[in-house]
Amino acid sequence: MERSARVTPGTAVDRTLRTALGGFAAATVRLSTVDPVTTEIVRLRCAHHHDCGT
Amino acid sequence: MPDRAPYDRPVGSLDQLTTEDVITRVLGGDRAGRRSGLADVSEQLRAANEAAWAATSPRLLELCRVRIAILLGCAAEVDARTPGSGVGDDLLAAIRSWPTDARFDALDRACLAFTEHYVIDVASIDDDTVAAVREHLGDEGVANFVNALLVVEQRIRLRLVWDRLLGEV
Repeated sequence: MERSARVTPGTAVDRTLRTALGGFAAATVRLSTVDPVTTEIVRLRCAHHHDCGT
Repeated sequence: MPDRAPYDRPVGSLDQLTTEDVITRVLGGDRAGRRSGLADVSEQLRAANEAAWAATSPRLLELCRVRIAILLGCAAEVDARTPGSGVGDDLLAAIRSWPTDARFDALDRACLAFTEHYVIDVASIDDDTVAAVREHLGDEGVANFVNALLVVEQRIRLRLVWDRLLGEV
C-alpha cells in the first residue's frame, strides 16, 4: 500500500515518551522465556498487522 | 527449588485490580520477576504509560482509552477512570454516540475516528483520517497522540489476555 507522508519529515515524538517506548521494546526483546522461533513468528505477524516494512 | 516465572504461579483473582496492579502482579516485582526480566518490562511499560499521559491531552486520551476498551470488550478498563482527565462519567457513557452527540467537539471526533480505525485495522488508516487529527494537533501532536494510543492499546490487550489466562487461577 502506498501512502503520502502524514506528518512533516523530521517530526519528533515527545522525547520522554519515545525513550520510554524504546525501553519497553528493548526490555521485551531481552526476555528469554519464549523460544526464539516463536518470538520471531510473533514479531513478523505484528509487523504484517501494522504494515511495517522496517 | 528454582524460581518459577511470575506468570507460572497463582496470581489470584484479577477482577478487582486496576490494570496497573495486574501488570505488577503478573510480571512481578519480586525476585522471580527480576531474574526473568519481566519486572523490567513491567517498569518500562509503567514509564511508557506515564509518558503517554504526559505527552497528550489527558481528556482526549481518556476518551480514546474508554473507546478502545469498549471495542475490545475489556470491562475493567471501561469501568476504570483516569484521575485528573477531566472527563465526566456522563460523557464517557455517551461515547458510542460521539459522531452525533454535540458534547463531542471536532477534535474529539477526529481522534475517536482515528482510534476506531486504529483498533479495527491499523494498517489501513487513510490519509484523511490522519489529516483530521493533524489539523487540530499539528505534526508533533499527531505523533505523540499515536504513540500514546499505542501504549494505551497495548495495556488493554495485555489486561484482556491476562484476565482470560490467569484470572480464574
